[in-house]
Amino acid sequence: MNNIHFEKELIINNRELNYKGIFRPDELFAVINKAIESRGYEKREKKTEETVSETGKMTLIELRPFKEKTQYATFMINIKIYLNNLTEVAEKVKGEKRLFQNGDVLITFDAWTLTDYEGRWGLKPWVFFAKSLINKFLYKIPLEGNFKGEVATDTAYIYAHIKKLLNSYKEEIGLVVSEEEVKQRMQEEMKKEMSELNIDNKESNNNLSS
Amino acid sequence: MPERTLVVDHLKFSYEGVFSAAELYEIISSFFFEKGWDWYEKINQEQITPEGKQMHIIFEPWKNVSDYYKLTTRIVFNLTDIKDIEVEHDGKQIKLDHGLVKITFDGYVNSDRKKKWTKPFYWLLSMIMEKYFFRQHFTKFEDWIKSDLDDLLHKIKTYLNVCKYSYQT
Repeated sequence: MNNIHFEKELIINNRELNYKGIFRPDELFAVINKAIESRGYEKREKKTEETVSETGKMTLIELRPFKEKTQYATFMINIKIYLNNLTEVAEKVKGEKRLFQNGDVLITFDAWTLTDYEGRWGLKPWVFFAKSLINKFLYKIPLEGNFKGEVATDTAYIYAHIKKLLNSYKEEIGLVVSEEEVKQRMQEEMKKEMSELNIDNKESNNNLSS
Repeated sequence: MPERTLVVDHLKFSYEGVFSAAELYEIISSFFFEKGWDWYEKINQEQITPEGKQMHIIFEPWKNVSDYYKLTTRIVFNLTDIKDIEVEHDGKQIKLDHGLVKITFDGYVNSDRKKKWTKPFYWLLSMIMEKYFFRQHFTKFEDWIKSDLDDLLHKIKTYLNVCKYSYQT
């Protein structure tokens, strides 16, 4: 990938995904990789930072996957994964003990379109103006028309996959209560309240009669 | 005319905690030795301050991969506020270091390493050949340097027991 681009446009600015609880970093990275690959991006790691302190580990991993859309246009998603206060915990999942990391996860997304149109005829004022008019009112030129939409969709796709994985950990260890269980609990509570009300009514009737 | 193409651009790694600076140095140098690279240490500076040792080392190992191409890397190794500490492990006292490590990796593919294709016409010819006829050679070496630096980073992360991002799904 060409590392120098003349025009950079930020499409998604610092979209955050917060999570607190247990997770497995290897699974998290596998899901990110899979999501990135399935949208046609090439994986690229940019930075790793780790600080070990008494409260736990603090890690920052920065990924910059990119997709070369045309010779002059590239999409890049900047994914920063902050793993804070990480400690190792063992949890029982379906009767088996598994090791997890417990801590705070913050994942931020920036989505960029990088283009190299400078100096080309496409950036001449009249051509640019006419093209934007045509794009807006007459016909969306398919090549560039949906650049912003596509990179935003790709980011949303990766975001959704990560969120789904992180939420699944709560289900695994039984932190998330299913709808049926909620209904059952509600029924039991209502029965209890009803029976208490009945007792109260009977007592008041008895008092009145006496 | 020799051309240098940047393939790995400022891949950064940083770690703060307990480690052994000597072992870390050994890991890097032995890695390049095992992979058959030639070793070149460009800068090695050390300053002792009240906050601890400050070290600045630049490695530029290189490897001739064909008659025409050469791979070079630039590893900037900054150790800040390094203090000697003693840790008890299995009843023994071990001397270790505590501080901040910052490493930056750059990887390049150099063409025309013998500087034979320098005259204008030869240069044009070499560019055409490189870009259109022997493109696969270049991409092969591009992948090579990427994978070597990735291996090295992985080794360092394993040694420091850092949370590892893996490219595999």
